[in-house]
Amino acid sequence: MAKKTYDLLFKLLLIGDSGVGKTCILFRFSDNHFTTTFISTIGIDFKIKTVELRGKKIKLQIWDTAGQERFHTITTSYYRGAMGIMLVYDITNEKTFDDIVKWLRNIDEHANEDVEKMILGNKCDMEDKRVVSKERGEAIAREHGIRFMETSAKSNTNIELAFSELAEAILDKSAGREADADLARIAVERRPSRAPPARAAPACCS
Amino acid sequence: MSYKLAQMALRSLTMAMMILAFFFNSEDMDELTIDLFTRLGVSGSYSIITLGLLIESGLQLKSDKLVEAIFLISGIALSLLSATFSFINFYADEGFKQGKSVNSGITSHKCIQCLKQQYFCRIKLFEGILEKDVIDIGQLQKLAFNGVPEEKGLRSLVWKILLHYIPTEKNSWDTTLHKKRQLYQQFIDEIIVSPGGPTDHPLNMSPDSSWSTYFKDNEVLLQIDKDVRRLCPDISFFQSATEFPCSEIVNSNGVKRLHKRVEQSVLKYSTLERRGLGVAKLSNEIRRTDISSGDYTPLNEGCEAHWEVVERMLFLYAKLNPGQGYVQGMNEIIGPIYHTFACDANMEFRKYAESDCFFCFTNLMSEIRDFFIRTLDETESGINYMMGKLSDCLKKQDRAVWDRLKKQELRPQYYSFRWLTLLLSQEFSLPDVERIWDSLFADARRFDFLIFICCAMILLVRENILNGDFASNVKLLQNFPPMDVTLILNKALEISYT
Repeated sequence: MAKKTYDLLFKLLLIGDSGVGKTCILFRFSDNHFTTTFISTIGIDFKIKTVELRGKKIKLQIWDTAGQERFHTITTSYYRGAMGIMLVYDITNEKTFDDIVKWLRNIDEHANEDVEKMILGNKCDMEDKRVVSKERGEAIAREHGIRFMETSAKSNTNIELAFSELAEAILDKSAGREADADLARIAVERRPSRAPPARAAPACCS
Repeated sequence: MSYKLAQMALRSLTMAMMILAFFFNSEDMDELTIDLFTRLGVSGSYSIITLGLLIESGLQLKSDKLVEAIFLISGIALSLLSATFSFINFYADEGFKQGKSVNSGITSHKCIQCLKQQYFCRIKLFEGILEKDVIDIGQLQKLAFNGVPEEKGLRSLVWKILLHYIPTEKNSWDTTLHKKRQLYQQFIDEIIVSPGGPTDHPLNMSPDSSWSTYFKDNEVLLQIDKDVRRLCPDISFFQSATEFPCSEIVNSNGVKRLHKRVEQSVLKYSTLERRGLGVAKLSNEIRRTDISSGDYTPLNEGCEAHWEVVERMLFLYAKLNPGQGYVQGMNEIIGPIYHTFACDANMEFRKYAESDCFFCFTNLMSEIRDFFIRTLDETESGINYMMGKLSDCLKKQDRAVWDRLKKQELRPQYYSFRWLTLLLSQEFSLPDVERIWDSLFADARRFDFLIFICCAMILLVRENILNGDFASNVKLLQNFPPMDVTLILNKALEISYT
């Protein structure tokens, strides 16, 4: 126990179509670098980063998955243990946006019910090639009651923020679970899905 | 007096050079054995003679013959000694060359010489086997198992035989190659160059509409395009131009190029600005050209990069094997084969690298395609079964490591899925991958040896695993540390005997 260098361990998962930049996002977050020279992810990859939130050292264990259909049997086995899932699409590619619905269905099928989700519209530095407007991204996120952000691993836009916001949401939730029921009531305005565990289905399903 | 001074200066210079030479030469500490004696002898004897003369001239010992004689004699004795040693050294070397004590662990200077010799011997051995009218496949497998030299296009040729692309009867090589290459040309023709194009209208909703096939193909192509542009980014080979582009395609004004089909096309638009009645201003938006794909940019008309060739082969494969289509990772399988063939020393073979590679890839895929098919994951040829086999092998070899991984819930999927599916092609550098594949292709019971190699990799980092936590162990296995592959292969061989 004395060896433990962190207070909490959060398991996160990055999913989304092939080529939307999942590996680049993760690499930007963990190593603060950007490179286009990445090989395609086969199966599943893994990175660790420790962040500090509200005075707590939080170790983020982030799994990066392969995008193609074939690998879903391998990757869906990781959904179960994930506390947060980042769903990435590419704002310059319509199809990756259309597939968001498919990925959300996947999450519903395989992940824990109270998993924190977030949609990321990546490559927002390529404004001149944009085909999915920010409004459409926001709309689909609102529809499913999920957080949304546009990011760019290349220009380092919102990457850090996205991870810390997701981590914070998980932190809120785990804090809520620990706390008494009346304590939980105080923070209710923040997110509807943070209801006490008794009501398992989050509001996003309505 | 000045003559004596000059002599003194000259001799000190010689001595300094000798000492310098000695230290520079013995930099590699591996040689501090017989070699050291030789050097010590030579430089020592020179130093002593020089010192003697120096003392004589410097201190003007008035031709004290005795001192001079002592120095001279000891110098000569040392010289003789060193000569004897170098003689012994030479003969020890000879004995080594004859293979009395072939030990890959020795890496000293003189061994490089004899390894070279050994290497040429190996080339000769391969040539001996390949010269025969009917090639003894068993013999070839045995020899290739320990690595195939790249020289003279040997690896390229041996792989073609081991992957059953060309038969063992040498007299039928020409006809086989001719037939296959013609067939490939036909594939290109029918599928890429003149497929006739869709005949009905694009909005035809019927599932067998030719436009719907066209759109489905493009989906596959899009995935291939993404992946071939990410193939071996650490080397420049795939981004460079091929010597033998497909002329019908590269001279088609871009129309027949596959990546053109999936290029993101954004319709040009202009904005109509109205200012009051009748005044309209048309502003044109100028869009930047695509530079996002880094160095994997398509080459100009008439040229073609190697990645474009790989893209074509994968697309043809997907079209001809519709049940399987294209699965990510196939690019990593075809990459090393194509690289080997396209670097063949033999021009004739290099020219047909594409078609030869296509069929070799197809043959290899017929053996490992089940790894790529999701519905076969649980079958005896599927990937889960293979991962299970590796786990069993590890359990048998090293219970402690197996227990450790089990306890940490570090499942084999986390690392061995990629290892096995891609035949380790993403774990090592390209030359090392090619060396490993020599052994894999030579394995008569494909792919048992692959399991042993993977097991060996784990065993070679066992100490780290036993001391590491979950996170560091996943990292270690997913980013296997650079290591001499012969070390891994020898360990794998050891495992195969147990």
